[in-house]
Amino acid sequence: MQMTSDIQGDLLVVTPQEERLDAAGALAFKEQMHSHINAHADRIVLDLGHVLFLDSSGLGALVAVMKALGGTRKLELASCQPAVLKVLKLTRMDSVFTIHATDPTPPGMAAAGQAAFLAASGSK
Amino acid sequence: MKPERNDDGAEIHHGRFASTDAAVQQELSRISALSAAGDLAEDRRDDMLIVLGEVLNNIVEHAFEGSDAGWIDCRISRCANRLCIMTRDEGRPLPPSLLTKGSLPDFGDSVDDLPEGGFGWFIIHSLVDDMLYERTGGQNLMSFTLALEREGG
Repeated sequence: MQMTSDIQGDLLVVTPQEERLDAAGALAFKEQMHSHINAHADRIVLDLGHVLFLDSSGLGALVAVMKALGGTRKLELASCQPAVLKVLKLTRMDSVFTIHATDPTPPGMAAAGQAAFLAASGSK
Repeated sequence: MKPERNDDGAEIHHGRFASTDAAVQQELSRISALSAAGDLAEDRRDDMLIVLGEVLNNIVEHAFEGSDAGWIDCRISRCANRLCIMTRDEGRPLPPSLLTKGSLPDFGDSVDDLPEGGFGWFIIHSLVDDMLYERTGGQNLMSFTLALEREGG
């Protein structure tokens, strides 16, 4: 699974570069997220701007990542596309994750960081 | 109303692919691209792709688990004001529990209790209008339909 990551202040923004987060990619996704979690102690935002579809296996992987954060950190999701949001709402898992309607980058960040975040999350 | 298993409707797509996660992913991407070019309402197209993903995953997981990959056949057609989808495979019979109305798994009391699975059939039953499973001639046949326009918008 292709993923990029970018540190913005104390935020780690991880961006899967795939159109589907599903049964075929769930295991690789979990493994890569685990290494990010081990390497980064602060907030982790998963930018789902490129992900058009999330299936139940992908959803299970998001829950597994949330658990790996150890209960003190919530998994934060940004740029959820309509079909992804639909699955999260249908299963009521939208109450489990922190879902950002907008860019979660803190105000006052360097303009370059903002631009990189928007570029990563803006395409469809 | 049960979905009819016939070929009277206008076929939108017919594919046969290996019963593996990777082949299913590829097929779903193909159907997604194909249906994006059509005139289906976007939210119904999403619903169809979400349901189809769950159905195909279940076939791979339950009908072919621990055995050699076989094939899955998938037909999507438009009949009257509905999308009619039929899958066929030669895997093992699917567990009958899959057909009962799915409910959401228990969320438990803490993050550690959160379910990592058991969402699939709930998602399917939430989005389809009907679902028929038949086991015949050593094959699993699943048919389901979705209205082209959701009632009440």
